Formats: sequence, C-alpha cells, structure tokens
Amino acid sequence: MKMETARDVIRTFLTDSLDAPDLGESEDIFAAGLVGSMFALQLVEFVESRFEIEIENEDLELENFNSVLGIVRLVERKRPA
Amino acid sequence: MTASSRASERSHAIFAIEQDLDLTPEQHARLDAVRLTLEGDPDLQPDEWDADQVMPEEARRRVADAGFLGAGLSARWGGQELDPLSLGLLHQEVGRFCSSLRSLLTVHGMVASVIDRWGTDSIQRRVLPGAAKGELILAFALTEDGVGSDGASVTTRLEKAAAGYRLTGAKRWVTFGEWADHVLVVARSAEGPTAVLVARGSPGVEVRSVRDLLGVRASMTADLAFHDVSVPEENVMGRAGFGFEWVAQSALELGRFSVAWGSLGLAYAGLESMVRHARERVQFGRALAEHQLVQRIISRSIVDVKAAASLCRRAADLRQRRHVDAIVSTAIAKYAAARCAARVSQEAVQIHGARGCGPGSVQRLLRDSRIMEIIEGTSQMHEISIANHYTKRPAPRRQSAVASPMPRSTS
Repeated sequence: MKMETARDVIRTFLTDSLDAPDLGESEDIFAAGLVGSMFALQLVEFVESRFEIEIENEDLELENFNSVLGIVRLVERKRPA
Repeated sequence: MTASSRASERSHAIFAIEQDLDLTPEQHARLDAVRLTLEGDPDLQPDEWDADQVMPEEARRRVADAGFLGAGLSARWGGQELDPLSLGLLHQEVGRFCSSLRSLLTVHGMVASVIDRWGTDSIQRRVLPGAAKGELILAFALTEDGVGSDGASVTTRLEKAAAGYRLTGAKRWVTFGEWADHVLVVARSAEGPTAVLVARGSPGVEVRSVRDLLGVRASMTADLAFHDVSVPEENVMGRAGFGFEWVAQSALELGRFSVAWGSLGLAYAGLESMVRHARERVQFGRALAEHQLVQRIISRSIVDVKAAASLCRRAADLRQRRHVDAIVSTAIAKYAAARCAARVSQEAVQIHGARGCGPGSVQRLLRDSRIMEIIEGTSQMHEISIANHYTKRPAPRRQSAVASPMPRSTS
C-alpha cells in the first residue's frame, strides 16, 4: 500500500476543511477568501497535533500557512529528519 | 436537620451523582474539593455580591488559594495543568455557584493561555507565575464602542514608536477590568490586528467602572481608555498582524469552552432549585411536582440540561484527543449550553412564581444567563459558524480526522 505523505495529508485536510477539491498546491487560501475566522486556529491545531511539532512566534508568517506547499515546507523544516 | 434541607440535599445529589458518572477517583476528589471550597464557606455569598455589584477581595483569595486561577496553566509556571474534562468540571461548579466568579476564571485563564502560547520568554517569566497563583489578574479587551462580533475590525491604534509601540483608543465591557494587573488588548497596527499585553499601571491607562449591568453584576466590568500608552515590543503576543485570527481567537476558543461549562453549571443550579421548590411547595393540596404542567417544565429542563452536559463532555473529549473537530464541538457546546441556561433559568423563575422574582432568588440565574448568549460569540454568530462548518465541506469525510501523529518517515 502506498504510504501517505505529509503533502497528501495536508492537501486532504485543506480541501476537505475548505470544501475546495480543486485547490492548487500554491493557491493562497487566505487571499482566495476560502478561510473563516476560526480556521487559523484549526490549522495550527491540525499541524501541531498531526506532525508533532510546535508552532512558535517566529513561524507566524502567512507564507507558512497560506498554501499546501507553504505548510508542507513549514512541516518539513520543523520536523527532525 | 430540617425536612427542607434534607430535600435540598437530595435534589442536589440526584443531579450531582448522575453528572459525576465516569469520573476518575482524582476527578471526583477534585470536584468534591471545589464544591467544598465554594459551598462550604459561609463568607462566600453570590447573592450579596450580585446585590452590591462588587466581588469581594476575599472571594479572589479563596479561589486563588484553591488553585482555580492557575487550573488550566502549564505546571512549569505553577499551574495545575488540568485535563479538559477536569477544567470543564471546575468551570461548571464555579458557574453553578456564581457566574461572576466563573467569569474571573474565564478571562484570567484565556489571557494566561495566550501568554503561555504566544508570549515572549521574558513576559512569560514575569507574568505567569503570579497569574498561576492568582496574585496577578489578567483581563481581555477586544470589544469597542463600534466593534462587537466583528472583532477583526478594531480601531484602537498601535503605532510604532522609538522604543516599541504607542497605544491609543478605548475598549468596552472588559470583564474584571477593574481588577486586572495586565490586559490583553487587540489593536490595529500597520501590519493589521495585533494583540499586546498592557500593564494596567502604565501611564495613560484609564479605568472606568461599569455598573448596573443586567447580569454578572459582580464581574468588576470596566471600560478602558488608552492615551498614548507606551507598550514595549516584547509585549506583542505572537506577531504584529496576527492578533485576531491567531491570537485573540485562541483566547476566545478557550473562553467558549469555559462559558459552555459555566452555562451548564448555571443550568444545573436552576434545575436543582426548580426541583427543590416543586417538591416542597404545596398548592391545591399537592406538591407542585405532582401537577402535570409543572412536570412538563421539569422534564423538559432535565432533558435540556442532560443534552447540554453531553455536548460539553464531547467537547472536552475531542479537546483531550486534539481532534480537529474540537473547535466546532466547543462552539456547539457553548451555543447549546448558553441557550439551555437561558431556558432553564427562565423556567426556574416560573416555577418559583413571585418568589423567583424577589431578591436572593433564582432571578440572578435568569439575568446571568442572558449574558451567556452574548459573550464569547453571540448565539447568532455561533449559528453561522456551526452551519458553515458542516455545509462547506464534503460529507461524508473521506478519512478519520482523528489527529493521530504521522510516522516521521512518511514526509
């Protein structure tokens, strides 16, 4: 069975949560107006619990959270290899 | 022991025992200790606080000494780091006793959690040990004269200065604003909404008491004005521009959890009082509890409270598991429990008749319950967010959203 990658998990979370099945990997979910006021909170909780990392103040850059690829890069940077 | 006091204990016990099912011995012991702290102390009189519109310092000392103000805070700062269910039960019991006192736990805990999560090391070290002990009180200032539910549109200005920032503007309805040593203020900087911690003693901070509220009249509510107040850079929570959706929302999310459980406690208080009175009061030769229309009111209230209790438990369970639906479950619990508190306290007044309208009666519960449907997101805002959550995503879910961590090798 094919292993699910972090990219798959993040893409599924975003497309499901935002009801955006055609979401592009670089598409800015904030600029596209897909995100409600509580979503940021949900996103932080998801990323931290699913990948066992801790989001810190210096990680608060929109580019770390505003697209599938941005979140993948953040997770890969924060997780020890 | 009089017959009425025995009846009182019995009616309390019926609901207490049922709600205490499934608790661990530690949770039971903690719950008993909470009840003893509040109800076993003749100096703690919520009806008097409500009538006087003042929370006595003694009440603060008692809850601080009992560790209630550091209940949710990390142990490294001296907090109790309670699990979500234990924290919920604490807020339920304090809410059953006095909503004004529960609101102190709510706002203090909200801001402590923000500092723990998003504060700089030096702010954490300076504030959190005192906050955990209840020696420092924390409050939350978001609402303005022109900004309520639309919190991201705050107009209080945070401008860059030679050292840090200058804060100018006004905030309204700050719960325990009169007592607060530090206030988390959501303001607008060049980067967008920004949350900063402001020391109440800073030059230019003005505190005006607000009295004659409908409910939570002992919540030491204040309006705050900031006249060119100097705020150090290190007092920014998270980063500039991330103050609403990332920082204030994390505080409000915990606030909703607290208000959900506090509202449930308020509803229990109304139900217990209603049942007690219906058993004792005799009209037309029978106890009120034997009249069918009264039975309908009681049965509806029982079912209402049990439903709200289940939703609060569910929210605590998902929170414990760090499930992605914990946030919407908390919103659902808050919405249901606040509405339940409003309905049950209204029925409690109805069952008590004229006595329920007099001083020192269930009327306090009715007035306090109105506030629960407004604070930490109105019921109408909850209806929007809950509906959006379920209508704007595919159903059924393709996979379980349980937040089981991924093995590291799959990235």
